[in-house]
Order: sequence, then C-alpha cells, then structure tokens
Amino acid sequence: MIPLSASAVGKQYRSRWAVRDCTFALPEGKVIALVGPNGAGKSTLLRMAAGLVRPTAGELRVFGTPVRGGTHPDVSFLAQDRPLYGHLTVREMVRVAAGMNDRWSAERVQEVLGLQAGVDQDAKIRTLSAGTRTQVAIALALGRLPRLLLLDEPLADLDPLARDETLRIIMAEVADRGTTVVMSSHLLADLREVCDHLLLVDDGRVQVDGDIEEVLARHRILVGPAADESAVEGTLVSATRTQRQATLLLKDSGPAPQGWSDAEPDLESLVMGYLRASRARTSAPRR
Amino acid sequence: MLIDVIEFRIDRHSGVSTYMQIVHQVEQAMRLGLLAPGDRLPSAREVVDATAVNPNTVLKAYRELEREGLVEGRRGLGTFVTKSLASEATAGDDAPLRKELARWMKLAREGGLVVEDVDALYSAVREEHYPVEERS
Amino acid sequence: MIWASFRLQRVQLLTLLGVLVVGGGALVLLRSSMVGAITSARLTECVERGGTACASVDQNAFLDDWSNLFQVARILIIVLPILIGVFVGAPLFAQELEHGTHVLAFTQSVSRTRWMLSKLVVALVPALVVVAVLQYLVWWWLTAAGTLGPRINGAWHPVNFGIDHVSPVAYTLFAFAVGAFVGVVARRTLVAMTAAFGVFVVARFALDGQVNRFVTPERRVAADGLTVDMRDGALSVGRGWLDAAGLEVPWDRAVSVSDACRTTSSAATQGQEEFLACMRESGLENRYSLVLPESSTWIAHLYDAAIFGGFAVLLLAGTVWALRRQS
Repeated sequence: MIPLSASAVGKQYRSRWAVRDCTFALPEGKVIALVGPNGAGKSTLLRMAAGLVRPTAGELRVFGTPVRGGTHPDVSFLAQDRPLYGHLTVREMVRVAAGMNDRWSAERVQEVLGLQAGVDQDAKIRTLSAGTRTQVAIALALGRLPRLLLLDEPLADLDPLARDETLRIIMAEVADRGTTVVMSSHLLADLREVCDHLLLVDDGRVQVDGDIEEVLARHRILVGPAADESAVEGTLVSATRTQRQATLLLKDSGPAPQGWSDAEPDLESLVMGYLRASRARTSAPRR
Repeated sequence: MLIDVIEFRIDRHSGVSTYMQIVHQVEQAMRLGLLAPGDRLPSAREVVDATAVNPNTVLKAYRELEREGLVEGRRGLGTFVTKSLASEATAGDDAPLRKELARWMKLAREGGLVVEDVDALYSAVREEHYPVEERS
Repeated sequence: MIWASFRLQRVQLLTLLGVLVVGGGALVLLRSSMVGAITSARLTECVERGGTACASVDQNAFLDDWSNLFQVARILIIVLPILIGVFVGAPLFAQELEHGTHVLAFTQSVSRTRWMLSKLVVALVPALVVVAVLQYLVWWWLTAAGTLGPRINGAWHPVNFGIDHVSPVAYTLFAFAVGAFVGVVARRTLVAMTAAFGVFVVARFALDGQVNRFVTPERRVAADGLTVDMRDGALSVGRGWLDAAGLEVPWDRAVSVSDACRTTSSAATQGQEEFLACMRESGLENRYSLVLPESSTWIAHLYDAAIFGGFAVLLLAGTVWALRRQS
C-alpha cells in the first residue's frame, strides 16, 4: 500500500501558492528525503500530509485514505520546532501524550528514551539540550506506533553528535518496524547518506521524485566545447557556461559526442542543477 | 559470537555510496578469510546501531551480494556466507604471498621509505601488472 | 486527556483553590466576628430596614470598623471575573498557539473538539465554582450586616447589583470567553489578556443599568402630594404629575404649570402647601414616581445573565470554530 500520495495538490496562502500541482506516490518502507531550499513548500507539504493544513486544490492520501482535517492513525508528525510543554517533566510529558492517544506503546517510548545516553525523565523539558529534546519528541512520535513517520527538519539546530544519534534512532525504527520515513531538510548533506528516495521541491513544485540510485543513473554531466552544444542529445536540465566550455546536466542523454567528457553526477550536483533550473524559471518574467 | 565477525566502517566523505562500501567490505573480508562459509552477516539493525546508516541500504547491499552468489538470506535467521573467496594465497597470516609482501615492507621501512613512498611504489607496480582496462 | 488538561492548568487551578480556601475562610471568620460585634454593640435592630434609633455613636463605631472590609469583599466579587478572564481564559489556547504545542495535540488521535472541550471544562468549571462560592459567602455576610452594611443603598445600586444573584457568574463566563476567543484569533497571550481586560471593562460600563429597562416599573404616588417614599430600596426611573382623575399629565405642561406657580408666589416666603395649592388649581393633583421595586431585581439579573451569557456562548462557539480551522 502506498504510504503517501498526492494528486495535483496545491496550497494557496493569500495570493501566494506555497505548493503547486504536486503529484507523487512514495514507496513503502523507504527513507525519503524531502529536500528543497527554505520556503520551497516542504513544511506545507508535510503539514498537509499530517492533516494540519487543508490543501486548496487536489488531494493527499495516506495508506489509501484521503487526508481530511485530522492525522491518520498510522501517521506520526514531528513539527520543526519540536513542540513540547516546556514546564512539564519528561515523565509528565509522556503521560500527557499517552492520554491523547488511543493506540500507545509505553514500552516503545521507554525504549527510545533509553537509547543513546538515556533521557533523565525527571528533568523539565525546557532544561533539555536540543538533541535530547528531539529524542523526547521522536519517542512520543514513535509511541503512536506509526507506519509513516513525517519529520520536518529533524536535524536542524543539532550539533554533529546529536545529529548522528537522532539519525541512529530513526534508522533503528526503520530496521525494527519497517516504518516509512519522510524527512525534510534544506541541507542535502544531512540526508544524503541515509535516504533511499529523493523528493526535491522548489518553488512549490516537485522537481525530482525517485529512487536516488535510479535518478542518478538516468542523469549525466557532460563537459565540452560551448560552440558544439547542439551535438548533445537528451533533456537539458541546466547548464553552466564559460566562453569556451559548457557543463551540462542532462536527463536520459544519448552517448557523449566526440570531444565531450561524460560522467554520472553525484547527488549534490544533480540537486544543484535542478535548483538552478528552477531559479532560472522563477526569475524569468512570467507571460 | 557470530555477531562480531565483521564490523562495517562507513566513510561518509569518500564519495563512494554506502551500499558499495558495504559490498566491498564484505568481499574484502571474504578474500582475507575473515568471513568463511556459514558465517552470519550482521543484521541490518546491528549495522544501524554501529554506524547509523539506512537499514534499507544494508539490505540492498546484501541483496547485491546474494545476486553475486556470495551469501544467502535465510528467512528469520539472517544472511549467511555461502562461498569462500579466500585462497591459499590471500587467507591467513602465513599465506606465502603475504609473507613475501611483509618481507618487502620490512625492507622498505629499513630503507627509510615513508608511507607515501610505499603507497606510490605499490600503486605504480600495480598499474604495470594490472592495467586499468583489464580490471572489471 | 483529562489528566493532561489538569496538569496543564495546574498553576491556575492551584491559584483558584488558594483563593477559594483563603477567601472563603476569611469571609466565614469575618461574618461570625461581625455578628458578634453587632450583638455586643446592641445594634441587632438596625440590621432590619426601618429599624429605629440607629443613628448612634455605636453605629458609627461599627461602620468605622467594618465598612472598609465590606468594600474589599465587594471589590473582590467585582474584580474576580476580570482576573479569571485575564489569567485563565486568555492563556488557555493562546499559550498553546504561541508555543506551537497545539500542533502536538492536533496530531494525536484525540479529536480537536474533544481536546478543546476538555481544556475548556477543566479551566472554566472550577473558575465558575470559585466565583459562585465566594459570591455566595459575600452575600451571606452582607445579608447578616443588613442595612448596617452596603445593603442600605438597595439592591439596585450598581455595585450591589453587580455582586448579586447570577450576574457575577455570567460576567466571569463572559470575561473568560473574551480571553479565550481573542487568544485563538490573535495567537498571542499578552494580546488576549489585554483584550479580556479591556473588552470586559468596556462592556460592563456600557451595559451597566441597561437591563433595568426590561423590568416593568410601578407607579408610586406621593403620600403628601410632593415626596415619594423611596426608603425601601426601590429605584426611581421617572417622575411626573397626576391630575385629579389619576392620569399622568404631559411633562411639558407639568413643567410650565410648576414654573408659573413658582414665579407667581413671591419666592422664599412661599411654603410647600401654597405651591401645592397652586398646582392643584391647575389640575395637577399629585406627584408620582416610576420605580423599580427592590423585589424585582431578579428579573434584571436574569436579563443581565442572558446578555453576558449569550455573548459568552457566541464567543466560545467562535473559539471552537476558529480552533477547528487552525493549522
């Protein structure tokens, strides 16, 4: 069953479209990187999937059920600011969260809180470090025993150690329960190593959607004489040019013509190429 | 006891994908005889605990090894090495070629070569005998 | 969910409990000590309206001791709704929205409606109970003081009216609802607190006395032709003159006749009888007043409660509506 799919989803805030005409279907059991620059519409997409925000157009489905004004029982959502009641202790916070759920695994929560250095359950939430706070928030999210975990910028403002520990907790969840995870980040470097699937959004639209290996395999970077560009076959994604030399990111390209060097892009240059292309479209005068 | 047979070291900045690193490390361990038929590879969860990589990547690497006929997944039990890549020449501390190389290293060190010199020499000789186009 | 709501309201609930215990205890002690003082000063008769020979040294001494305490108790009941609106109603949802914790609640399995209702009930019901209990104790105490206390001014007196019957509970509900509603709309605790205070004070002043128009006045005729007896705590809402047949004389005619009677008889020497005789010659027989008897205050209280309570219900419905669309 498809954990999350969108068909022509759009969200308009006053005159601005935060998300436009997004269509995708995410694979089950994978770790999906939702990548895009700040303001690309990542949060809006996740909040719509969590049932917090209603789409202006189109429809999202979670495990086949349309999302309408509520969070699907099999979904856990972690907002970017990791909302928790600062004046409660960890223990009280866990009890509050348990009281708000029909299906709840106290053991799972304890298990996650015990990971890494372990969380002091009598500490007030507001005294916790960003990393520990994230651990508590994830523990609460996993207490719902989700099959789809939506994490909005889970690694933002974490130091490298906390970042590693947070990823470890999330990856352990994937290993233990086969949970589908969607993680957003404006930094590709955060997610590159741990994701199977890339959903690149910019300007409210899906730019790339696919298995990372497959996406990379379908693209080539060709470097060659600028005068000779017409010899190149394939869909041009973006290009950087000097007076003599052109560097082209191509999708489904044919064989490299004489005098051109040909390489598979790494994920970073692929993403940069697509973002550059989307920027060029945005800044170009419309109509 | 079976668990600690092999531990993966993932280098996030090598430019080689995690999945390829795991495949290579298993193959290398098999060549060196560190992994023998019947040994169980660490479960995805064990690898995650040690390295924080994506468990799907680990499983994908294991599937690749399975496709190469080196290992076999047994439902509910784990993934087991089925084939030996170790030969007389490579396995064990007393393999003749290894002994030979150790002797050479000793000479190099005594001759005052630093590790960069040794690497450069090794690469140059390797290129001579194993030209790039011949390697798979 | 209920435990969660209690835990999140703990500071407010403990404060309310403290106010209830300290305030309630103080009121009970004050009342019993005052009853003792009345008895020992032999002022028992003065408690009833119309008691005789009460303008005594003893009474003045009693008032010196107690009138400030009466004021404090009445101010408490007047101010309590504002405090509840500002410190219980306003932060209830505004704080969640401000800190983003509503997102936590909205993504759990509990429905938004149930979450809101449980928060509302846990915050509102104890507040209303505290107001009702303290108001009852103040009423009980002031009743014991009778006309030695503020009751002398009658139940229509604005302050007396404001602390009686169902009015304080309705005011509390209203102040709470304003705070909660503005909190959801503005998403800022401080804005909600300020609005709860401002809107409540303005509404109370604007509507003060307006409910009296819903009470049908009685016509009370002056026994001596000129002075209507108002000592029973009734509220005068109009006056005029009656002719011999007992019909009301139009106001402008009454004014012109009374002006004429004042000028014809030369000023100061003229007594009341002469003036009255002059009026009667022109057919203006008796003075009358339109009064709201003290016994009818309950009608005004019901309208008061209906107005404030009605606005409160609208605001609470608006709160629920706004929260359901909140993202």
